[in-house]
This record gives sequence, C-alpha cells and structure tokens, in this order.
Amino acid sequence: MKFALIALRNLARHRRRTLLSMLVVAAGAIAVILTAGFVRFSFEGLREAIIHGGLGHLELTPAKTAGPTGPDRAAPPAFADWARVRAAAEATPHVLAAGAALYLTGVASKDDRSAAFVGVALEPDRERRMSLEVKLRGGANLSDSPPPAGEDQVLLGVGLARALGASPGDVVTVTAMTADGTLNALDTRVAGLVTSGLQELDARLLKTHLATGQRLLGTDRVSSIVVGLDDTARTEEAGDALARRLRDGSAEPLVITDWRARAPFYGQVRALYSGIFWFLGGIVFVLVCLATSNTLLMSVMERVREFGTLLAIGTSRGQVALMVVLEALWLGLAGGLAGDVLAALLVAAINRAGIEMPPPPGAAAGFPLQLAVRPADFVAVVGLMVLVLAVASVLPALRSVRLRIVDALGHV
Amino acid sequence: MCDVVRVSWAVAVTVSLSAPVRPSDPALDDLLRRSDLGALAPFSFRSRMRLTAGDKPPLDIEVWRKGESRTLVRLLGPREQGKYLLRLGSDLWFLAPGAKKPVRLGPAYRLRGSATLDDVLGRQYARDYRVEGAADEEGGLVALDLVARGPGVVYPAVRYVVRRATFKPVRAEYRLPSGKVATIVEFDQWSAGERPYARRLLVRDALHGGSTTSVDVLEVEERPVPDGLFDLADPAARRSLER
Repeated sequence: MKFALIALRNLARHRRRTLLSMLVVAAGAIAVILTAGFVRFSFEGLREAIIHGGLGHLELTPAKTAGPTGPDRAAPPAFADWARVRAAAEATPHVLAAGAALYLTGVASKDDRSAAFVGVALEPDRERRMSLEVKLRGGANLSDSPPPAGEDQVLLGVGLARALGASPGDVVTVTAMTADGTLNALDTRVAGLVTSGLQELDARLLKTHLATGQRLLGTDRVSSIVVGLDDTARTEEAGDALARRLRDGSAEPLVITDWRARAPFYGQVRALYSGIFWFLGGIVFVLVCLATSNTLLMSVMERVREFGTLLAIGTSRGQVALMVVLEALWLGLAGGLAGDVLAALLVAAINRAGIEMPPPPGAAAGFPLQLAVRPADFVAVVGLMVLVLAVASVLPALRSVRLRIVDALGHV
Repeated sequence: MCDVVRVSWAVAVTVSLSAPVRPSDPALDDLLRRSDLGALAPFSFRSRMRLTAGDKPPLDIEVWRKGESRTLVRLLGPREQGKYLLRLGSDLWFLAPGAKKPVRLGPAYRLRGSATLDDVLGRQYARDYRVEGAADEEGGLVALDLVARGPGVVYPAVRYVVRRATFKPVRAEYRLPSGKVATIVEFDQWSAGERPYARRLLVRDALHGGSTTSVDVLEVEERPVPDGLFDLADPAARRSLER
C-alpha cells in the first residue's frame, strides 16, 4: 500500500509525462470502446433485422419437409394440424404470437411482362403482433382479414414491381404450381410495395395473405409456423418449452428451428466482424504497449540518480522495480478511466449526430450509425489498459533493477 | 502474323457456312414420314389422357385439337375446373378461372412430372426435322438421327427409333444443343385400326434423376372440333365443356 501511494506521488511529481502517458492510454481505451460499440451495434442490428424482417425467432415445420436450415421451401405444404399447433405455441410463455407461413414460388405477370417470384403467404395481424416489420415503400399493407375470392392482394418487392411495371392498385396475375402439381393462376391487386433490405431479394419478393396463398396452391395446409418472442435472449428457453408442450400434443412430428440456424449469414458476418475486432484490438494493444513502454523507459532513464539514491539508502531492487510497475498500473487505471469518460462523451455525440452509413454490399438502404456500448465494456477496457501497462512496465522495471549504485549516483 | 490468322479464320468460317447440306436418303425420309405420329394424327379430334408421375395424384386431361397449330387441353378433376392450356402455333397459354387474362407459358412447360405438351401430343418430325443419318439396331429397329430444319424448335436433334417392319416408333430421344439427352419418350401398347396410336407413353427425364411420367391414352375420338374452343379472348365455347 505504501509503495502504491509512493508510485502515485511519483506520477504527480512528473505531471507532464504522466499526462502524456495517460493520453496514450486513454486514446487506446477510446478506440477499443468505440470499436466494440460499433461491432455490437452491427451484431444486434443485423440480428434483430433478420428476426423482425420476417424470420421470427422460431419456426415449427413438419419433420418430413424440414431441413437443417428450416423448411424446404420448394416442398408442397405439409402442415395439416397447424391451427391447433399455432394455438399451443401462442399459449407458451414469452411467445408474442405465432403465425402460419406458406411458401410460394411461381411467375407474376402484368400485361406482357412477367417475372419469377419467391413469396410467402402469412397472417398480417399475427405478423404485426410478432413485431415483424413490413418496410413499405408505397401503397398500404395487406388487410388483416382474409380477402374473399376475387379480392386477393399482394405486396411486391420494389425490384419485382419495377420489373413488372406495377404500382399499387394494379392487377398482377400470379401463377404457381398447386400442391397437387398442376398449375393455377390468380388475379391479385397490388396493395403496396415493400423492401426486404436486400436488393436481390427485392427483385423476387412477393407477400400475400395466407388465404390467398392457400387459394393459389389449392390447399388448406401451410408450410410452417413462425413464432415471435418478447426477447431474443429467451429463444432457447422458449424453444425448449415449446418442444415440451408439443411433444405430447402434436399429431405429427415437428422440427423446431431457431433463427440462428435459419440465418447462417448472421454467423458468417459475426465471425468476420469478430475477426476484424480482435485484429484491431491487437493493434491497439501493441501500439499502447509500445508507446507507454517507451514513456516508462524514458522515465526510468531520467530518474537514474533517484533510483541510485533509493538503492543506496537500503531500498531493495525488487521494491524499486515494484514502484515502476505500480506507477504503470496507476497510469493504466487513470488512463483507462479518462478514456471511459471521453469515450462516453464521444458515444453520446456520435449517437446523437445521426450519421448515415452507406448501404452494406447487396443491401437496398443505408442505416443510421449507433454505437451499442454497455457498462461492462467500460469496466473491461479499464482492466485491459491496466493489463497493457503491466506488460509495458516489464522492460522499464528490468532496466531499473540492473542499475549499479555507484554509476547511478554519478549519472548526469 | 495476326492478319494471317484472322484471314485463315475468316476463310474457314466462310467455307463452313457455305458448305452444302447433305442430300437426304429418300428411303429414310419415307420411313420417317410413315412413322411420324404427329403427321398421321386425325385433323381434328378429342382425346382423354391420364398422366401419372411420382407420388402426385394422377392428372386427367381432355385434349381438343384442330389442325397442327391449335390444341386445347382441359384439366379434369374437381379442383381443376375451368383450367385450360391453349396452344396456338408456338404460343402456349394458361387459362384459369381466377385470372381474367391468359398467362403465357414457355413451350417447355411440363404438364406433370417430366411430360411437356409436345411429349404427350407428339411432334411433327417429318415437317420440323430432316434425317441426318441412320443406324440399324437389334430387333429390326432403325435409329434415325434427326436434325431440326430451322430454329424455333425446343430440341435441335432427336434420335427417333422406329420398327422398320411396322413403321411404328419405339423410342424418341430428345437432345439439347450440347448433344446431351434431355428426355426419352417410349411408345408402347399400340391400338389397332386405321390410325394406330400408342396407348401408353413413358416420358423419362434424362437430366434430373431419370424420373418417369406415364401417359395413358384412355380415349381418342376423331370428330369435328368447334373453332370457338381456341378463342383466346372469348371463353364462351369453352364454358360449354364444363356443363
């Protein structure tokens, strides 16, 4: 404790050098906090965009049409007992709502233009209760109630609408293979234009009401049931609860797939960003380490006579080295705390600035930059900076213990 | 040096383009003409067929045909009421009760499994193809190598295997521009009479796992067919079929 106080006094004596070292440490802390905030914002933003963009947290699929990444979208709809399973799912804790989904592929045509589509028929009221986002770019959303025959509506991806020359209010004929393998076609009115956020998907995307999808495919079955939860963190817990509930009550074997398995893209992005983060973190670690090590070494060199005197009056070499290390630790602590304060101010400023980021590759729109920083990050960064300074102090401490008293006392 | 290569290429291309078409063998042409089911079909007729493929329920269709270029396929069954495929020349249209306007389909549209409309109704071999070569096969069969006379046909080459003694086709192998076999149609169970027809066709998809579609011809009736059935804009005549 005594040496810790002495180390602190030493830092106070050399204010200019201490301030310089603290600035280096603080800059490193700020870099780490901002990078962590950006990476976390990217992870969380992508995760919630995937889930609320239509994937939901969990998907229940009959085993015979289930694949490792969710339902086989090309297979005919096979879920017969879906209404009862949906009710059971909605009675499970943390489930906001569960909605049936029917996957469609076919050709949409208007006048002499036609384009292939990949579509989904769903229940708009339940989609809303699940907080699944419909990014309208024109017109209106689908009506909640099932449309009567002859009044079917669709939402078209902006790219698909452009290819067809269709706008809200136009009639588009939708053609698809029925569950029996024959062709069917329906006239539908374009209710609105939507974007998925991905240009390639927007060129093929079609959404419609479940009733319209079933009418088109000539079936009363669905492909799967999508489940929305109140908290993404509870996905595993809710999945287990659902599995227990459905094990006894379901007439057909079901497979429950969580959002992560259905979005391998997320795992890839996360791995890539994590790699970038650790690489940048490593660079910051080395830079701060070198800069502070240099400063500490200079400090030792400037205080050779002081250390010689201490050794001459009986202070052990270990105690001198300890003092150098403690000074470094104090620097790490103070610099880390200063970095925390400055980083907090910067994060607040950046989040308020409303900086618009350019669209990521393949995306249809940019996004506002927000840094997602947590209190734990500030604590961790201080710990990291103390560790960095501990490493940086090794060389100066070794230098101080190798001093010869006679030479040190005569050092100019 | 470059100019020499360029000129050599130009000469080679010119020579190849201007090479005369090999005159065909009259005996082989006659064999093709006499075994061409498409050309031998009645001018106008009604037919009923059943297509079966995989685990899907069988699809029953009624075919109305007048001349070479007009064909109406009515899909039968309670769920298919009011659905038609209309072939006018090289255009194929789908008509459904839920859609006011006809939907244009590609010529390779598959009725069921791997069977296209042309696979089911037969092609006009003598009209659309010329005999490029022939080879004898075991069992009194002759394999005619047919090449399309011009662009616009789905398959540029066909190997048409015919029984020489009876002029009845046994098998047709449809080839893609790459030379790869896309579809194989086997003709089986011949009817008796003045205009024989294969009562069963087996259509095999040679590209995608070799799945087979069976086409059973249940009925063929030579009869006049009203022009109104082929009117793309006016469904009145077709409605009379639904009653």
